Amino acid sequence: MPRYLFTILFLWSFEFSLAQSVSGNWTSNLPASTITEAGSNYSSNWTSLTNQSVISMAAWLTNYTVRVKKIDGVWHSDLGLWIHKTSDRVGLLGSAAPSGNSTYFQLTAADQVFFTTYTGVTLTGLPSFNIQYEIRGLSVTIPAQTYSTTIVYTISSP
Amino acid sequence: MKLSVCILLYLCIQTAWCQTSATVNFTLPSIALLDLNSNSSITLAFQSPAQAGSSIVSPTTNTTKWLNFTSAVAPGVTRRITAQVVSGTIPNGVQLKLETATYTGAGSGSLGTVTSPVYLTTTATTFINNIGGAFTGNGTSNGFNLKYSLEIQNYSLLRNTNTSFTIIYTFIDN
Repeated sequence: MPRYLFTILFLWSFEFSLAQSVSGNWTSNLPASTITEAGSNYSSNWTSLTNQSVISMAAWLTNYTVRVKKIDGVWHSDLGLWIHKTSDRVGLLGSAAPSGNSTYFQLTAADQVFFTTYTGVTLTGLPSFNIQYEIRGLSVTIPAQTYSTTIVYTISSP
Repeated sequence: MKLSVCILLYLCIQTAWCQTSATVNFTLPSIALLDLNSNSSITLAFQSPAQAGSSIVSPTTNTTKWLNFTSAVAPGVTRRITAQVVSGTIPNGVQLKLETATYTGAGSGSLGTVTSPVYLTTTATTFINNIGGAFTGNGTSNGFNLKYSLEIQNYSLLRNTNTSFTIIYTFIDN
């Protein structure tokens, strides 16, 4: 019995030692056709896909806290980058707080708690969370060029 | 003993910490949109004087046109708006004066510097310059109100005539 337990725990630990990951950058060009009438400004925000980034956890039956911040490259102070979680994929007994489609909040240079999760357990796949971004504050008064920022996710357990 | 070591190892691994990242890159486009509200025709007609010896009566000025634009520019870039007479000619002895009012409306940004009045010819004349990233607001009462008037430049060249011409406005990078 201890031998089996040792094996299970070893494999479990090995699984956990795999790094959590975020896949999916967001590169986009705002089309000039967004504005159709001379005299008008941008009237809406610019939003990514609902699963633009996917955060994958490396283990089941684990508590995680995900914090997030941004480090600007070329950026403009009038622009705001907002983020929210659109869906959870956790296992049996798993949970996330806030759960499911959470509300947007604005990213800053300081870490903010994004969500916490208990990943639960399932026989297929690892827990993952879909992330959507939105750029607010768009205006033609902001210089027309490429802007970039890096979103840093810090995932800790417990 | 092995079991306890393994459990301890597991608990240690459980207190993990990881940082990973994603990047966001997006490009704001250069935009140049220009519109005249409204772009319907206007008529400027001189009237005969009531008394012999008097000058002919100049037409009433027209202030029905509003110029709207949206401009998004790359860093360091500015634009200008020019006007010129095309497809028709201004009658001899008369000149067309364009006066541009100061900006009014719901817009914002670097709306440029107005030169007013200017006299329009078949050569493009700049009357708003150094426009940066800006929007004027849309429709009448937004943007730059344009006042057209006809002035007699040389009485000796005046002839009884009815002519029409078109004014074209161009929004262009400096």
